[in-house]
Amino acid sequence: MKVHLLIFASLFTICAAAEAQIPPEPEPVFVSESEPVSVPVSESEAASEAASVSVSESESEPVAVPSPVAVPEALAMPSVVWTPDLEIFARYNLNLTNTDADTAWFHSFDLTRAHVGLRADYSFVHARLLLEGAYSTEQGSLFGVAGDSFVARFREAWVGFDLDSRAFELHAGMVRTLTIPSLESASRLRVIERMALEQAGFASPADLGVTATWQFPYKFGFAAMGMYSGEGYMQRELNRGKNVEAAVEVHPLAFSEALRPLAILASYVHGSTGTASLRANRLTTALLWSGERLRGGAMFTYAWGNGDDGAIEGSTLDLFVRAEPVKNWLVGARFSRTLRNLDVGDDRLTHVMLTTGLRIAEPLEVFAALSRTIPGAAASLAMPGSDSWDISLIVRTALGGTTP
Amino acid sequence: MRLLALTLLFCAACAEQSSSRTDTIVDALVASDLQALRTRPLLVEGKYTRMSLGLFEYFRGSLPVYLHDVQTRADLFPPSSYVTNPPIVPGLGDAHVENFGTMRASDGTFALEPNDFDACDMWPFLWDLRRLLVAIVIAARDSNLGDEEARAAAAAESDSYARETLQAYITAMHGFANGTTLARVVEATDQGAVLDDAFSRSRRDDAERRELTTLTRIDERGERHLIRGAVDGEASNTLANLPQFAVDSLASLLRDYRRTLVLPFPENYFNVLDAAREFGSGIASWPRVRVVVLIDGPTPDREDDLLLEIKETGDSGGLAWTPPGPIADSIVARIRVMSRGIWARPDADPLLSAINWFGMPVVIRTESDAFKTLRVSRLVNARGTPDALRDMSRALGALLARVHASALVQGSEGARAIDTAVQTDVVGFVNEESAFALRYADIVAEDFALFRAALNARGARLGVRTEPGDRAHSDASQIFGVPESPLPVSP
Repeated sequence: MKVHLLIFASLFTICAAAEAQIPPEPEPVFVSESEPVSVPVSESEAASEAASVSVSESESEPVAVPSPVAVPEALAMPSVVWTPDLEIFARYNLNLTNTDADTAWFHSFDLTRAHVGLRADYSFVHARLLLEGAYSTEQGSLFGVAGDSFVARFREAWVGFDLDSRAFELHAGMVRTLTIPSLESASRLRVIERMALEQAGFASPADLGVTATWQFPYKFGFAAMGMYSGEGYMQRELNRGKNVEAAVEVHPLAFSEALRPLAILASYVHGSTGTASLRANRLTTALLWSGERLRGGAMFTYAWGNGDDGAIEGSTLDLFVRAEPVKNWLVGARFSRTLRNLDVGDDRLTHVMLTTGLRIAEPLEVFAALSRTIPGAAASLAMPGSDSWDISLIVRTALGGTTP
Repeated sequence: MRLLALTLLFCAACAEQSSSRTDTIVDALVASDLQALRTRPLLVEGKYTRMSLGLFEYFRGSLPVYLHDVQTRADLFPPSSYVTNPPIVPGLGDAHVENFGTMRASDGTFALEPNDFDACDMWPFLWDLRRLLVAIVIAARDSNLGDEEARAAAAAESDSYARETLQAYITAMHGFANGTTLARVVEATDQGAVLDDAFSRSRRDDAERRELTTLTRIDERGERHLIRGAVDGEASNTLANLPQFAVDSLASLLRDYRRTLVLPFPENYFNVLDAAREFGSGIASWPRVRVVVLIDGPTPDREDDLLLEIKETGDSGGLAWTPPGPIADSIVARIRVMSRGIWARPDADPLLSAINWFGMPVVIRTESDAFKTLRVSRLVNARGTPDALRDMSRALGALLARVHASALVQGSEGARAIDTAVQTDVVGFVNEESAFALRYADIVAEDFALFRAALNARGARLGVRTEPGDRAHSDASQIFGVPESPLPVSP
């Protein structure tokens, strides 16, 4: 029954797309999607720019064909625009962990991100592949590919189409979810660490499913819905239930160029995880500022169900800022507090991070970061090693995209 | 609007979620067994069925539920008032009564030692200690099978077993922190009925070479072979043919294995005479591959033939990334390091080692009836009295302290830190932890009932849907095999 509904919905939307006027061919748009910055807002902006460029190109087309003979249909078709991108975070980390016995230390080189993406646009049809590097097993496990090799896996693999010059977009496959990409787009601190929401295991940045996005006119934001497996992008579907996510991002002062970066995000996920369909509902609200030199925000997530327990409730508060006080000098800070189980007062993690960095060239940044995690007593017992300091040196490069 | 309406309709049809304890148990077990459920579902069915047959069996198979509670449910697994950041020490990971047993060292003497290393790793000592405390309480509640009066009498004094375990642990740890030698637990006069029984049967079966009688036959040509079919009359424990390619691989496997042993053995010691796939042994490891191998032993004489067990193992489920960092870079290296490190002497079983076989990490060890695991099913009569259970608790508490004090990576820092923390208020710590053990044992008993209900409601695979593409490839499937007589699901 559900499959029939899905097929019917897909056919319906495809027919609707066919009825719509096909927009002009878009110009290659270099938006680094490996840093999840290509939130609907930025895509919309890019698309509108692309559309205007494409129109002029289309107008110049007859000049390129001097013969009055009609252009063969195949040649008149819009061509596929391929957009590759590459993003790498290389990291050295010194970890100091306190136990009642002593302070242990461990240091390591790591590759916290290795993304290779390719986007293809053909008129109103779009597709994207994003490969990411990952260890072949989860942490703690040594039973993987040749031990625990660094291997490539898909992070995104979707096809989609747009209507009305990308005012509406639908993606299907392994897609980005809606909340984490929007938050990371505002924070731009992923190079140092993940959002507290993701660290707490409350959300995944990608999943198997479908998203549909409607852009508000005049850059006032977007509304989107997604339906996913609910297991994230690293695991096969286990349950019958599907996760439904609804998100709205509003830029209330978008009429002013200077105040447009102000955004309010609200999202709700109604879902489950695991074979037993354990409850995994999330309500997230955020106040964000996504300026050119100053970015930051405050977000709060309430979680019904945590990890593989649907009965407990938790929350996380994340305050973050990233600034460029002087050109090419970057600074950032984060404070987060996660309550893993609201029934147990001291089952909490408090985390503080400070970072400073330099943009050496447009696609190359280096950062130094210091972070401290302080667990409550219950979290300390449940999460050995969580009482720690981390000192990191990170190099980031992003090629093929415009995102700094 | 039409699309929106359709989408909402679809979403409504798909919304399904649960927050029940039953589903948490199911999810924790399934998450742990997922690969096996997909590639050898019949064997995992056997495990779950085995778990449904008794409270202690459930406890043995439900380590993932325990770890879930430890890591997620601070309301069920509260922090200690005496230890803020529990030191991470060499631990069993799955410390329970039936993971201890007697072993014969290279000099022929027997000692009580940990005998299962599947979950052996670096663990916070309190996780390990609490697991043992709960195990002992549950063992008492599940003791004296068939004698309800004796069982009730044993269960009534559960608190005292937890306290004896803790006192023995604390006393031993205090000694280790102050330089006491990590000694073997050998046969002695004041060990109580449970250990007496284990050691005396070890001596008896060692002299009789009983395993050769129960597991092998000598044919008319005078050659010894492993039997096929039920072992010792137990229909659920069987030996079956191993595929020929697997038998052929054993010679080279044992050649490589020989080089990993702590003592030198002559090469022809490991000449393979026969091998068979064993089904129905263990509980948590029920789905894992077990092979019994008959080897030549010291001489070509048939009377000194030996048996080895090859048992598939896997990740410990432990905290390899936590300080002081990984102790080994592979599963087999972990097991070699841990077993030799936590035993009082590295040759406690001189034939135990770990190696990869067809890419599968396996533990190879002596298969002998003289190696006696402490069995809850034997806690009957004189071995099931409160006094006997207290004696056993003391022995296991002290032995676990010795394991935690063993110097693998941290030296004796862990022992000193544990000792310092608990010595501040020994009585308070004992009160706190014994109360926890009783409370959590009640939770396990409730979980057991929920698990059985889930098994009946969801089926023997706990509702996991397998697909044809999940099936393991031909060679692996042949080694996994199919048990001849699956167990009946407990009503």
